[in-house]
Amino acid sequence: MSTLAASQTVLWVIVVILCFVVFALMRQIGVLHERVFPAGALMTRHGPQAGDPAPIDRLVAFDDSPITLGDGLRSTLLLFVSPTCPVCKSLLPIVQSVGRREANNHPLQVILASDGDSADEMRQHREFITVHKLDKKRYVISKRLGLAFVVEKLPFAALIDKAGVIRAKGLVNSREHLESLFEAHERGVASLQEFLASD
Amino acid sequence: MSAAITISFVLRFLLVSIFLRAALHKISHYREFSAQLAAYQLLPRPLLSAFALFLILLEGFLALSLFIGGWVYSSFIAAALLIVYATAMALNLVRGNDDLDCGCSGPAGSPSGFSSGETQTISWTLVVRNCILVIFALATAIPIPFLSHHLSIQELGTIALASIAVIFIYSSIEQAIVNQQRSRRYLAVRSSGNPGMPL
Repeated sequence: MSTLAASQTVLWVIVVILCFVVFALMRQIGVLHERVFPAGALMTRHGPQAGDPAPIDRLVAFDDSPITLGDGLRSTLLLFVSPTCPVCKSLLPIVQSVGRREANNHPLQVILASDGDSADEMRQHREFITVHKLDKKRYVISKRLGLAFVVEKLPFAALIDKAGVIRAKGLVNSREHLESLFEAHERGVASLQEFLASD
Repeated sequence: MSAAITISFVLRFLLVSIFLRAALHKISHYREFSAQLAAYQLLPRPLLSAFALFLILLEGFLALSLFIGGWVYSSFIAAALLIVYATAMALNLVRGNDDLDCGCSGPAGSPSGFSSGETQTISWTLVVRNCILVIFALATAIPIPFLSHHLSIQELGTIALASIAVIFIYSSIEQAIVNQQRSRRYLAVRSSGNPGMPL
């Protein structure tokens, strides 16, 4: 093999290795971004804050059965979702598992809330409930509720205690966000951001 | 062997890798993909799942036919498909519906998958990216000078190594776009406390 061919081969191998290294580095940065992203549910400044009483305490479920927020017996995890929001769908199994686990510690009801009551939207809700095997007794359609909590982005969650007082709230995009609500509640702060800031 | 032949081969293999990855990704996340397609709000609901399947098959077919080569129309179909994607993104960006999962593929998604609820959102960067890919696709349609001989082992080696390098570089750029979006979102959270998390 001539010197030229040899150097060419070596150079190619180095180029490929370098490209791979650059790609690996990029991935690492991506993972890093994911890790440093605030793990707590993201607070919004609008609407009722943690410590305020829930603006609405009586709701009517999808099957017309009544729901009470803060009935003195159990706390409520209120999750605002929409059949057209992909993140909400990926969050549903997580909500169920977190809800079940938390229910072992203290009584908890998980309520899914959405809005839109036109014929087409109702069809979407029914399909949503069937596809994801949701409980009609725990599914609320109420524009008023969303307005009262000033929900701007989905999926949005609020944790309401037995007495009907909001304990934590925020945008939840992942299991970590959702768990941070319970965490914040147990630590007695409105959000993990507040907790970290107080250090 | 001319540089034109190498470039033509390399671009073709780059497109093969893009379409193959896109198709595999869509198959493995079929439900999320259907939801993402719905979120684009461009198709009537009854057509969604059929169209999702059609896109997967088309991408798979393009990957195969571009790999085998020799059928010039696959380059044109690839360009057309990329234009359709770019148009769909541009339409939603113009509508202000920019909190949308791209539903693209591969490394563009979050490193830990859909579970974290963070994927690439549509942006003008991605529209530009698609336009560049359209140019690549059309470039592969240019007939390469008549091959007077079979490719030698050195020529094949150059094509293979250059393809691998280019695929890695492309993936790195994709990952860089995701990272940039993520860090921008992170900064938005830090500075305002009222983030623009994707719906």
